[in-house]
Amino acid sequence: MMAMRLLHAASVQLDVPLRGVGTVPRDLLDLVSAATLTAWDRIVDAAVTHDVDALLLTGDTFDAEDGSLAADVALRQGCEKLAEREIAVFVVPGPRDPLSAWQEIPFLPDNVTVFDSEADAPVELTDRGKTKWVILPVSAGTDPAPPELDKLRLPKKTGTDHRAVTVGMLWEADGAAVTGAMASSTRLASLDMLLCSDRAGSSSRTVSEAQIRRQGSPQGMTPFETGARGATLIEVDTNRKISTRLLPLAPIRRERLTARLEGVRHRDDLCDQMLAKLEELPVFPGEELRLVEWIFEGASPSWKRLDLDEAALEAIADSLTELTDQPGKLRSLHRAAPLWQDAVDDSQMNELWRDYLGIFERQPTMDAAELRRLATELRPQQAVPDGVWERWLQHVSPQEVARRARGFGRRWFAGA
Amino acid sequence: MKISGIEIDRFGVWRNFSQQLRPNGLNVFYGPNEAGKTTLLRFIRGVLYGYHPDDGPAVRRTSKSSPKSGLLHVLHRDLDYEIRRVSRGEDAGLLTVSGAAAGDSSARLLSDFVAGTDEKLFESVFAVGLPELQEFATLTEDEVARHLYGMTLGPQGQLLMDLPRRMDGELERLWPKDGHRGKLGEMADRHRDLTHQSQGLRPQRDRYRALIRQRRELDQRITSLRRKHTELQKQLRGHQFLEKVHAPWSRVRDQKRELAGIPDLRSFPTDGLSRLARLEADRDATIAARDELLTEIKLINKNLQVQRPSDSIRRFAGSIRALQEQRAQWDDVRQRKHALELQAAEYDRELHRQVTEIGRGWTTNRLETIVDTPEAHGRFFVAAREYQSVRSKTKRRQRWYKKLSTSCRDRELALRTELMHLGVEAPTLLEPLNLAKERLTQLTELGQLQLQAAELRQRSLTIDDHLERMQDRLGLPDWVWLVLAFFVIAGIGLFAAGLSAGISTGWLVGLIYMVLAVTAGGTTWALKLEFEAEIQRQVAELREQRNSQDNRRHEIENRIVELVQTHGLWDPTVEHAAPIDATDGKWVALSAERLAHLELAQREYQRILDTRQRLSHMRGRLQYQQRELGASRRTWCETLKSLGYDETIDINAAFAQWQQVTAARELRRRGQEARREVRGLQEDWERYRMRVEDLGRRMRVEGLDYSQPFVALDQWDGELRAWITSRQEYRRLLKDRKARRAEADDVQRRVDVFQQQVAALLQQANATDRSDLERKLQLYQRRQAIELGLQQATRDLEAITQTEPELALVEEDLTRFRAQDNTEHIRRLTREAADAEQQLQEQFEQLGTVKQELKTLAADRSSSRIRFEQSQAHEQLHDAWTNWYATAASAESVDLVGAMFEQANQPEMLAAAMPFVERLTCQKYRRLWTQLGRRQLFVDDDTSAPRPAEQLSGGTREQLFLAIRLAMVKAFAKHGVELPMVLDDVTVNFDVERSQAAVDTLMEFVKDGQQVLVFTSHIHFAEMFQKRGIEPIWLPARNKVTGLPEDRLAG
Repeated sequence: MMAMRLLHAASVQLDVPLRGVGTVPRDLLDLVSAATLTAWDRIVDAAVTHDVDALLLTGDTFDAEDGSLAADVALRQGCEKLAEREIAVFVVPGPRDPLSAWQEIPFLPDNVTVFDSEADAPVELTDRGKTKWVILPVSAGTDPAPPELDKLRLPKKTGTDHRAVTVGMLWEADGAAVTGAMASSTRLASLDMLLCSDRAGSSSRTVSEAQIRRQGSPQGMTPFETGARGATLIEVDTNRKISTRLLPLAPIRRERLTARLEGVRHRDDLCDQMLAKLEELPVFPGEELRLVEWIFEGASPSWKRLDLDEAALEAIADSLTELTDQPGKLRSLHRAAPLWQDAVDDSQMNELWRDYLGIFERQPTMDAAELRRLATELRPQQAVPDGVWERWLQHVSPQEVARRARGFGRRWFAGA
Repeated sequence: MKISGIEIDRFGVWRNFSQQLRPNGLNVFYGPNEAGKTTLLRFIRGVLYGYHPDDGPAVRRTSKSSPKSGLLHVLHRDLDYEIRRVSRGEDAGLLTVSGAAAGDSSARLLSDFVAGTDEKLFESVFAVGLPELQEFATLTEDEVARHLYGMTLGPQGQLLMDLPRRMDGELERLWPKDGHRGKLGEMADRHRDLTHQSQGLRPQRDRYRALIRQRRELDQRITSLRRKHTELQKQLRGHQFLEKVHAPWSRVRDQKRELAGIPDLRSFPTDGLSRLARLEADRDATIAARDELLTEIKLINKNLQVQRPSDSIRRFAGSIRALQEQRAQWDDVRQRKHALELQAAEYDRELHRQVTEIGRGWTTNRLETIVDTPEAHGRFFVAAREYQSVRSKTKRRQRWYKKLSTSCRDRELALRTELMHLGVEAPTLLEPLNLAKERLTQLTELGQLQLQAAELRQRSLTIDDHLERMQDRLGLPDWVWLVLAFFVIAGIGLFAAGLSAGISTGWLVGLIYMVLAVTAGGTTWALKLEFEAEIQRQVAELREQRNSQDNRRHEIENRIVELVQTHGLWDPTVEHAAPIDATDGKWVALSAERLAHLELAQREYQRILDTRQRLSHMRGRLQYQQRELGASRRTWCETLKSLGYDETIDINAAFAQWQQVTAARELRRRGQEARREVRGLQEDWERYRMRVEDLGRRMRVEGLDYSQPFVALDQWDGELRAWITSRQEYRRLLKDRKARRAEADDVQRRVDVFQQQVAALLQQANATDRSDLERKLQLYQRRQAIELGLQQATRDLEAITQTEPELALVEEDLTRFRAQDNTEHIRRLTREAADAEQQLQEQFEQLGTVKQELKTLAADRSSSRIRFEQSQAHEQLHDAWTNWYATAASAESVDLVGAMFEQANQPEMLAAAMPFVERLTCQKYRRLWTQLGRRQLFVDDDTSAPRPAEQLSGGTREQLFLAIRLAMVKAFAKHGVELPMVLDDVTVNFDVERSQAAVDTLMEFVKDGQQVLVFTSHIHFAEMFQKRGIEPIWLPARNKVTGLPEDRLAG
């Protein structure tokens, strides 16, 4: 029985900077700035190591607007390496890497197939004259074909099944919204598996009994993309049973951990609790840096008892970094989540805090005009030209300002 | 504490002032200006806390303060007290509290009255005049402020105070007001720089893609040029190949032609001639060797005839060898026998010597008679041990006896000497001992009596001295007379002064002086009389004491004389008869010493007697022991005799003899054994010799001496060896002849073979003889040469064709080949190939450059870092802006929170003062409050507009502060600090309405018993109280010049 394996990656986002990292020491800058490139190299190596038949990329492989040279180079070199091993690469564009961007890339190796549209013809992967895989793009408009329905109605076959496995790659380019025009275009498709990014909403998935695999980016891009990140290895056994396994490939691991202040009498106890949580984290192969964001939960008396404020939390995070960072081995960077960031249960608030929130909610709605008023009133001596004002405003979202101002209640009053 | 009355002796303008007060409620004092109202306030304060130096009279203010004195009647815990304080001027005054229980200190009581308050608090809160009311600062003094503002901020208050400042600081840091860049500006600059750098990197990707395209084109061009170059190379090779192939191909063709003309001599032996020569030479050499071998065989046959051996001694070879093998063993036997003989002789000599040493009468035969059994040895040892034991015991007893006897004699001698020294000749020591004891007793008694007499004498002398001194002291000492004189004079003087004072000033004073005088004189006389009587009494006592002592002393001296005369205790060291002076202890000591010696001698004598008795017993036992020794000696000698030894009483000698005898017997035994062994060996040796002789007889050998068997054996052994040697030689010759014969046969066979080979060779070459063979050989060689040449040419041709495996040989081309034309083709093709190669080189260089640049671009990861930093800068800028706006947006809310907190956390005191404020201001002001952390008062008017206290009118402010003080007094009272409140003209700036309100307020204020003293200079204000049933106390006005009240209030 010939081995049948595929590797699925999505939202690779080559050379797109990580967000929400905070201050990074100089010796880690290269690691952090090249994290997505490193993850891509590891995807290529994993494809070679596991001797897959093909690598499937479903959207946002790079950001066309960035115009990154390193992304271009990494993509080309990775595809060339796979070409040497005769491993095919199938690509569907995404919102960030539209088809036009792919078409501008000159002379990709012959093993790379970029689907032009969701109506593109399927591609068969054969081995010694026998078709193993059928790879095709699908979209929200892809309807289950009669064979698909037949498959749904008929009982499942037992025993060895040598039919090719049909894998659909969800086309999410151009917004992936379901439009009337798309809905009316039908395609015949019988899918055993549907691959998409984890961004795909339910409306963008086709109706199918196929096993759906949603894949996140191989490297956590934001503080909220935590845990194991990588690519999915898809294996099919002789009974045509499909199994999937996540291969952790991210060089930088992001985590958001919660430290509870209830019952903690001293800051040293808090540190011990945090260290214990770190020790519980499983080790993922290949992780070189852990970026841990800490959320501190507790009622106001706890904050007051420990005399915690933002500076104290940052000091705790710094001391944790000092304790856990191992230059030359696994590095660690800890930071305290901004106090305004996370919602807090009302029961944890003290009276001042509640008063503050109550008063704030009664203030006028935060919008651009309100922002301008604040600037004008507080800095009357400095007249801001309109053009400059608009330029500044593009950095600011009134909703975000309001949210943060609410969150400031915790920053100032939690320890009162 | 409440004041129920004031009494001023002297304070300020007040003299002898007394006023009762109502302890509960209002006491209103009315007095015009300068009546002394404030002075009264100061007096109250001064009595309670101490006068001030400047509390002097208002009229005369000199540099030196005037005395102050007065008291307050107070009621404290239902008990009346008087607090008096008197000052001479500068000091705070001496405090006395009357009515206190025994043991209570005035200071402690006073502290209790004022409940531990200090003057400052009293002045700030309880005793308030207009200046205090008007000064805002009095409300910020620490103690007052603590009570008034009350609250500690607490963490929440502190936070609300700090937050606006922190928020301003944050806003300022990000975006300063003064137009400086601030953090936002810096971040924006950085973001702009990084964006610019990032945008500058964008063309790199385009360049990369352009290079990719260029690389692709170059690859295609290179591929085409390679193809062309390959084709040219191929053609060039073809022509070069033709050129190389043609020569060997021609050679092959010509040689094949010539080979066809020579006959086939395939089987001809190429080396026939040489073989023929070799075969003939070998044959001849073999024949020569055969002849030599035959000659050797003949010679061997001759030697064999000579070497035939004789077998006669061969029959006895075995016996000879057997005897020869035993030779070493028998040689040992002979030597051992000889050694044993020598040893036996040695034993005999030693035995003879030892027997001689044992003693006279000892012979070897006697040794035989000695009983030498273990039982005999046992008897010997036992007898020796017993005898030795008895002897030792006897000797030991003799030694003891002798030692003891000597010791007793020595001690007797020493005792006699001692007694001689002591002068004792009596046979026993009892009498001298008794005499010595009596003597000692007498001396002791004498000494005691003498000491007593001396002591009494001394006492009498002392008393005499004392009496003499007493005589001197019968009169008074001089200094006493001086004091008495002083008193008398003083008394007279005082008396005169008294009279004078009585006349001039007051009779009482004069009387006092006179009384003093009389007292002094009387005291003096009384002292004199008393002193003299005492002296007289003491003198009489002393005299009586001396008389008794003298009587006693006489008695003792008489006793001494009697003692000396009775017992002859005269001092031998002086010439005239004088009694012994036994007081210094010398005579007593001597007597005691003698007594001790006599007692020692007595004890020694007794010991000597005991020793003599013991010696007597020992003598008896010694005799018994001697008898036992004799018996033991006899038993010992008998034992020796029975065992065969010499009799002797010396046990050691007997043991030595025993050892010698034993050793001699041992020697004799050894000698006998040695001789026995020699005999045995001798017999064995004889047997061996007989065997040798017997063999000689069998061999029929004559002339040998068989007493030396080894000599015969040696001779026979030599003959046997010789026979063996000759036999071996004969056998070797036989063997040698056999081998030679075999070799000769072999050589003959080889000759035959050589002959056959020569014939076969000629047959093979198809020759009849040697010359025919030579001829055929020449033809064969020629053919070989041609074939060789053909092979070489064919190999050359193959080698050349193998260098170009893709090319094939075409006969037609080779046939048509023209060298000149071919050379021309080659030249042309070479030129074209070089051009193509050069173009390829150029394309490769370009490709290399492109690849290098691609590599450089691919290796450059700086863009990733720049883009990351740009992204971070963007995030930070966005975050900072959002922070700034969020902080600004929340600042207003924080201010409102602070206001709410402020509103809900006002000091209690202010709340307590509010009703008073409302009343005093006739409801104009509804709220009294202070800001967080600041000591500043605000009031809200009826429109709820807040106004700071500083901005109020003077009168209103006074009302405000009065209200606060009223509240504070209430608060203090709740905490046990009950003090009267004194208000000194505090309503001067109140209008009528508010004055009435003040009256109402005060009336209400005192309802629970608080005492308030109100001083006023406004008649209408006093009348307001009067109308309300509070009769004011009317204080008189004062003369402007004298300061005296015009209507004096006294007592």
